[in-house]
Amino acid sequence: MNRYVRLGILIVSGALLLVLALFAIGSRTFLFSRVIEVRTQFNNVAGLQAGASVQYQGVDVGRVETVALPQRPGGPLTVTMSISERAKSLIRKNTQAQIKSDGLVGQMIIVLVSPDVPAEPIEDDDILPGVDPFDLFEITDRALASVQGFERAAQSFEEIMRDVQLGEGTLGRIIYDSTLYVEMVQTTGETRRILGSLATSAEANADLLVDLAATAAEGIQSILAKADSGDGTLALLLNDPRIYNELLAATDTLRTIAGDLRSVSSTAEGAALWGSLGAFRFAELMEAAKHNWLFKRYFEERGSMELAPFEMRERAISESLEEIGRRERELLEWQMRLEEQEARMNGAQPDSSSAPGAGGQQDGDGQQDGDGQ
Amino acid sequence: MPSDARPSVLTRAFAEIGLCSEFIVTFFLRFWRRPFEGRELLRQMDDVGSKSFLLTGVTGFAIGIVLAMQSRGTLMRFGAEAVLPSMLALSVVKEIGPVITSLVLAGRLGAGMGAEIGSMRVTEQIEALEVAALKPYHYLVVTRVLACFFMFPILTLWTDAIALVGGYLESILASGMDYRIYFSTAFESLRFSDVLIDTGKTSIFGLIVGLVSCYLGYSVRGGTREVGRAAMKAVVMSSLLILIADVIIVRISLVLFGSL
Repeated sequence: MNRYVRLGILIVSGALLLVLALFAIGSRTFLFSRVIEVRTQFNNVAGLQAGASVQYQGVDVGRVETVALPQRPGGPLTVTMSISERAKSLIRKNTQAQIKSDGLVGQMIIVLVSPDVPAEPIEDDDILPGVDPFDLFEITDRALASVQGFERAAQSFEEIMRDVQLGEGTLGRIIYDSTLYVEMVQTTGETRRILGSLATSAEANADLLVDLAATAAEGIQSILAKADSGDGTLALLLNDPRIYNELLAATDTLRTIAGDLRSVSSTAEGAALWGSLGAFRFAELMEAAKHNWLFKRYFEERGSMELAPFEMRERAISESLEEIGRRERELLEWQMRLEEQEARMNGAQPDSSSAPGAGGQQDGDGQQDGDGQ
Repeated sequence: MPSDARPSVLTRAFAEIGLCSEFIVTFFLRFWRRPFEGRELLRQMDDVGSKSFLLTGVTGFAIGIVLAMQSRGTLMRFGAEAVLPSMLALSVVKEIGPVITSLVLAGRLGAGMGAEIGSMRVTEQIEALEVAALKPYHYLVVTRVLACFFMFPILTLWTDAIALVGGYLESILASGMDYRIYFSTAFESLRFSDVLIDTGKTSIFGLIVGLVSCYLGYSVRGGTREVGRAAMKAVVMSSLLILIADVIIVRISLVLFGSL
């Protein structure tokens, strides 16, 4: 091949390569296509640089031309973008410009997001609303604070569970202490019994209750008539809001006082319970001391060897039983005597035994019943 | 100081720099003046370009394949295999293509020019040209330096293209990547300045290779042994100056056009 031809081919092909490369790069940077320039503003561009891609629904539609510093401290940065004419009809005046990362480790790009209600298409030199990018450090700080809070909550929960497992606190006692269960069973039984007795009582006294209800209704009707006429205390109570307000305030006060009293009474109840328990145990101890050989003489000298309450009760009960037995025996003797007398009288007057005998027997039975009672 | 005393190394170094500077200034003063020696320029361009094409083409193909193979494993670790074409294009177009092409050409052309002009000097052919009223500087130096200036970028463009093709072949074999995705991704990361400046800087590398090689051959004194040393020095000095010039040019381009 002629050297000039060879050289010509090399030079022309080299020039073609250069042109192709420039066109390939230029087509991607919209250098050879018609573009319009629009602007947007951000408080923080997160490293966005000139030449970065502008995407609409994932497709490159332009490039960032400039990132201008603000006019005053703290002012917004102005980003100028060149948008392809082809995408002009898709991008509206209220389309949002968001700065995002192109992939996990990619450079920052601008993403144009369509609004729900699109406005008119953009024109040259329009300003699109900009949405600031996420601040990674702020998110990290929030996540760290959340993790710390969760850690504290987990520690507290762990302590609570430990207390519960040890049977401490209300929850632990509910779960591990059977006293509550037993008391609940007893309460349920008591409630069932009370309801049963109430039902029986209501059945028995239904007529009486109806009469009472009718009387009460009449009374209430009379009171309401007076209240409607505006006379009397009740009418004032019903019609004057001040009384209502004062009553409300008084009720609140009473409720508070009642709560306090309930608290005091429960405290006192607890104290009394503990006191009686302590007194009982103290009495037990003293009783034991009385029978101890070491202290027995002291109590005898002091004349304090009286019986214990339960011993006194036992003794009284046994004395009562003996008295009842004695009385029973006397009654039996009396009954036997009466029967003998009756048999003797029946043998002496056999003709007149029908009417007076029946009356006498009735009297005798009545006497017997009265004695028995 | 006696006139026959041997000058010190420092003095000889400064004298060499002075003579080289004079040679370079002479080139810039004469290359745009007659005679233009167009036919000789085309012959030199053919020698520099056409006859070096195979060497630079094979070099570019090897660079593309090896770079793709070496980078793929590293990028796969980070799940960034898709950016391989971008990385390959940036590496080849911005740095590896221009520098490797220039170094390869410096090795081939620097030795040839230094030895050819040095042989003409020691055989007094240059003096004969002067006697014949021909301008040996225009005929021998200007044509070679301009040939290097013009052909280095063209060869670099070809080297870059062949390297990208080599990388594409590797991508087909390794992952079956579609050519549209490959070249689209490759050109996505490039800018005009990447192609124009980083390819254009090889013209400066061509000037360096041509001027240094021609100077060392033109200034040979003595016999054939000096010719060989001049050829060797031409290769070494050209390569060294290419690397130094590359650092300076990259720094200047970063200042002027940024790093994106």
